[in-house]
Amino acid sequence: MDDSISSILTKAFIFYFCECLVLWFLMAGYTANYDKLATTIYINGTEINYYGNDSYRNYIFPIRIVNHIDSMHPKTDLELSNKYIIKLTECEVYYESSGLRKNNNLGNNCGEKNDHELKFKIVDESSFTMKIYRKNKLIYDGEFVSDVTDYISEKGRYYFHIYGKRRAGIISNVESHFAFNVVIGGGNYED
Amino acid sequence: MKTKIVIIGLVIVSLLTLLLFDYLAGKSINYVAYDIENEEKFINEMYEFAPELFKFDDSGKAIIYIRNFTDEDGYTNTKYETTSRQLIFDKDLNECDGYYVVYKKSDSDKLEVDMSHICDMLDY
Repeated sequence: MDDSISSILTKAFIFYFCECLVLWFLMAGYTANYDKLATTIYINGTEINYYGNDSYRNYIFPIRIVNHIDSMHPKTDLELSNKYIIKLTECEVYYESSGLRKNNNLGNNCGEKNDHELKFKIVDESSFTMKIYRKNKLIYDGEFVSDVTDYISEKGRYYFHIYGKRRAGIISNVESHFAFNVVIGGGNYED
Repeated sequence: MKTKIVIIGLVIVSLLTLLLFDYLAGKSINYVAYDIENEEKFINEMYEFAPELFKFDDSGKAIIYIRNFTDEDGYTNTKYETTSRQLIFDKDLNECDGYYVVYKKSDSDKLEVDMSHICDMLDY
């Protein structure tokens, strides 16, 4: 290959790389406004503080947008009980006055705390899986289950991870990850 | 022939570029476990402000639980407001609420900090 062709090829590759870069950032800006959902998690009626993120993916144009949901300290104290039920609710959030959708749902729950400026539409779009850890050991890994009584057998601190997946259009989806820990019955100080 | 090579080359380059960006974006999902330098700095600052928290044994070793200097929300207790600390997580997004093992060396003013237990899942 002579020098002139080599030079043209080099310039073409550099140009194409730059074009991809620009296109990626344009697409990233465009898709950053994907429809976001607010999520509320309760265990035995107590609202759980969680930490998490959304990850939007488009399969045709391999792009990923990450939206951190860094709301609160992800630790919640719970009373010792003989049953532990997780309730997870996802919703779309709208302004009461205009009816327009509010797409930044950080810190919003699904309306069970009365908020007069917003209205909430409960949706059921995601499929969930779950992991539970205690003392650095994985004690559950599988489908999301509402009744976790079998895994919370005694006082202690349990780390939960709930992973959601939903479609966001024909060629894209959103994966969510909610992480929190609960201290049951004041904890177990034996270790 | 040359045109074909150029076109195929451009397609490969574009795909690899996009996959590279996708990979980089994916890497940003998980939080960095912790910044060792920041944590060491924090512990040394805390030792200046609240030495009573550091109970060293005869060998110069002390165990400092994170909960000793954080408030209910996991942030630095306001009575130690001269220094601050962020919530930290391991790579799986588990909150790190374990403990530091701190060593006082006779030949140095700076504390030596072992952070291997800060993400231990204590049972309380």
